[in-house]
Amino acid sequence: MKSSLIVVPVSQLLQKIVDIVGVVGDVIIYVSLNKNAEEMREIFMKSKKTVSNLFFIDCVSREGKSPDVLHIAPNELDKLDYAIRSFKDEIAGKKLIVLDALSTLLIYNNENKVAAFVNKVVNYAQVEDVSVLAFTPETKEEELLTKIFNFFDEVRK
Amino acid sequence: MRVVVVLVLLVMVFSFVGARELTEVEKVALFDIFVEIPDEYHVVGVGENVLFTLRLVNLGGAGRIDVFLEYGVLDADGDVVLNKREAVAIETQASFLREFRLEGIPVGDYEIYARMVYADGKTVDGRHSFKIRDPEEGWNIMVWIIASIVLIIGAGIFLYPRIKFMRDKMRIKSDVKRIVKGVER
Repeated sequence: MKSSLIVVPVSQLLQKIVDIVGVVGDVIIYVSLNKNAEEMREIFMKSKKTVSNLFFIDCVSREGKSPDVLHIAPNELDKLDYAIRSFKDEIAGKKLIVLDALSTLLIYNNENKVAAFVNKVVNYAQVEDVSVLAFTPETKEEELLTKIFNFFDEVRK
Repeated sequence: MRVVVVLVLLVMVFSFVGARELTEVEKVALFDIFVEIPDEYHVVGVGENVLFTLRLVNLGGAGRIDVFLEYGVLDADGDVVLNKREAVAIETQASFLREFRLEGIPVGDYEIYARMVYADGKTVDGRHSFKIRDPEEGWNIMVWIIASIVLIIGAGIFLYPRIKFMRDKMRIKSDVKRIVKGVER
């Protein structure tokens, strides 16, 4: 199992997410930081990619229509970390954790906290044989990227 | 006739004498004594003064009479710690304001006592209790109360976010279980 950081231009971010996540067969724990869960579900449906077993942790909207989505505020990294772990523990089989726009976390948290959070997620994913796929738009906050590059097995640009 | 007049006179004389004797009996002195301590002196500090009133009442009303008054402080064992004696004159009632300086007397429960000796050695007593406390005791209690309040507030500030986080974690866990079970079905 490996962890990957994918850095893409903002304009291509959604397409890249759909292209990569859409072909993964594993159960996905999807942390939506860019668009809310309902929008993301719709985007996946329109793309006609079969995305089954998608569990959303929505950090964009505080509440939604679907009872199958867990809503966590993006400034509550401890709760977000706990929610990811809980999904990881509850779901059987192969799993993939997707963080769809890491830089969004910088709006609500300082970069050290975000780096620590990413480090935690990548570490326990590796220990427990879970894949991590993180997306981030190319950003001026290079400092965050330099801090988190090393946590991932591979960085794709 | 003379005999009757003499008898009437004798009856009148005896009844007059009897009435005088009766009056004399009523006028025998009969005292009571009350010790009163004002509220603010019920608890005093070590070395402070205790103020009290001795109220003497002559229930018999035998006119002005000189009495001996002894008053003082008794400790919890009934031992005299301080005392004074004086002679006072009293007719129907009198009040005397007196004061003791409680220097060198330790913390504890005490009584002001007063004893009056009158006529042929008859005595009457009165008492009222008060306390001597450590002047720092109140301060110590205040320090303890403030420290306890600070501790409770501190514990609240320290524990509240942790308790809230624990509660949120439980909610997240149960939501995740519900979501995963729902999707699996």
